This record gives sequence, structure tokens and C-alpha cells, in this order.
Amino acid sequence: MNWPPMLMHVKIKNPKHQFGFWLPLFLIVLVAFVFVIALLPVILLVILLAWPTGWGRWMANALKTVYIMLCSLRGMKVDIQNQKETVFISVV
Amino acid sequence: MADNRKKILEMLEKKKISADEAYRLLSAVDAKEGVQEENEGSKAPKANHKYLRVTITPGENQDSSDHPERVNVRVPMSLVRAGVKLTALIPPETLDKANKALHDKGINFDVRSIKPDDIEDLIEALGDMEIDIEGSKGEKVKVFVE
Repeated sequence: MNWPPMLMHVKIKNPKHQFGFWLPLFLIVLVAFVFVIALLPVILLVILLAWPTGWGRWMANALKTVYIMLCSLRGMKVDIQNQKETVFISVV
Repeated sequence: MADNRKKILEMLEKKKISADEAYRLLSAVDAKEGVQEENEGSKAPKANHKYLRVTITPGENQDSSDHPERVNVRVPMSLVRAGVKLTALIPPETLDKANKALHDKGINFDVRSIKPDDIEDLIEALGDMEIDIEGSKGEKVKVFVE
């Protein structure tokens, strides 16, 4: 089973600032999970009402794809450097 | 398989079969071996490509006034796969518009004909892709799958 990313490491370095931090995505995912559970009846109702028009299926697929994309972010790494600035983002 | 060949040759030696028959039997054994080898080849594990990498390295000839940037991006293939699957969410009316726009540009291609299996094959084929560009100032752009 695929799990959403747990942490995001961000490092920014320029002549004025230099900082790096670990963003605990698992906390955000937990909050989002609770939010989705609370809204689930409404989401299901909207999908069921929209099903005859064809948009209900589209909405269900969209939700599934967004979740898959979120899980697929794991392992993503962006590292951009020039002589003065450095931006590093890594999703774990 | 070597036993089959030996038996055929023994039968030929004992004159139980003619040279023509022996030739046909040996050809049949060869054909059977070829099919088996092909099947074994298809069972070979597919290369497991995990990431799409994009790297840009500045050239040695570039001066500092150009502000050369070094870029290293690693995108999981699963994200590429999920991104491509987003096309399934495009409403049919929009696909019709895309088809019309392609037709106007002289490209007779039906976007609706792309099936999920085709997308899988396309992503699989990305494993063999490697783009290597070198600029006039020596900067290098590489796109590859690892």
C-alpha cells in the first residue's frame, strides 16, 4: 500500500538568509485525514447526486488520482544552485 | 532437446527415416526451441526504473555574470504515471476540442484512442530515453531515467 509522504526537507541559502527545516507532513496528513472523514458523508452525497450526469464518476476518479499523486510525491527531490542562492526541496 | 536430436540422428543411422524426414524433424525441434527461448525472454524481469532525472550543469566557459545555475531534479516515475493518468479526467468536450486543434495543425490523431495500457507502454519505453544537450557555452542538459 502506498502511503502519503511523511516529511519534507527544505533548505534555502542566499546572501541574506540561510535556513533549513523539516516539515512534518504526517501531521498535516493526519489533520487532512480527520477533515476528510468529517466531510465524507457530504462528499459521498455530492458524488451520488452527480452520478447520473457523469460528473460523479469524474469526481470519484479525481479524488482517487489526487490521493495517488500525493503518495507519489515520495522521493521527489529538487536542487537548484547558483553562485549566490541554493534551494533544496526533498520529500521523504 | 539434445536427446531429441540424438534420437533423430540414430533413427537416420538405422535407416528408419529418410534424410528429408530427419531434416524436417530437426527443423521442428529447432522451431520449438526458438519458441521456448522467446517465452523465457518475455519472463525476464522488466527494468525497474524509479526516477526521472533532469540535470543542468553550467559550462566551464560560462562567466559569473551569466549567473549559471546547477539544477538537479529527481521526479519519481510513479508521479509521472499518476500525472499521465490525469488525462483520464479531461472532460470529453475538451478532448474533442484538442482533437480539432490537432486536426487544424495537420495532425490526424484521436486523443481518445490513448488507452491506459498504451500509457503504461509509453512509460516503460521512457526507460530507454536519454536526452543529452550541450550548449554553446558548455552547459549541459541531461534528461534520463534511472
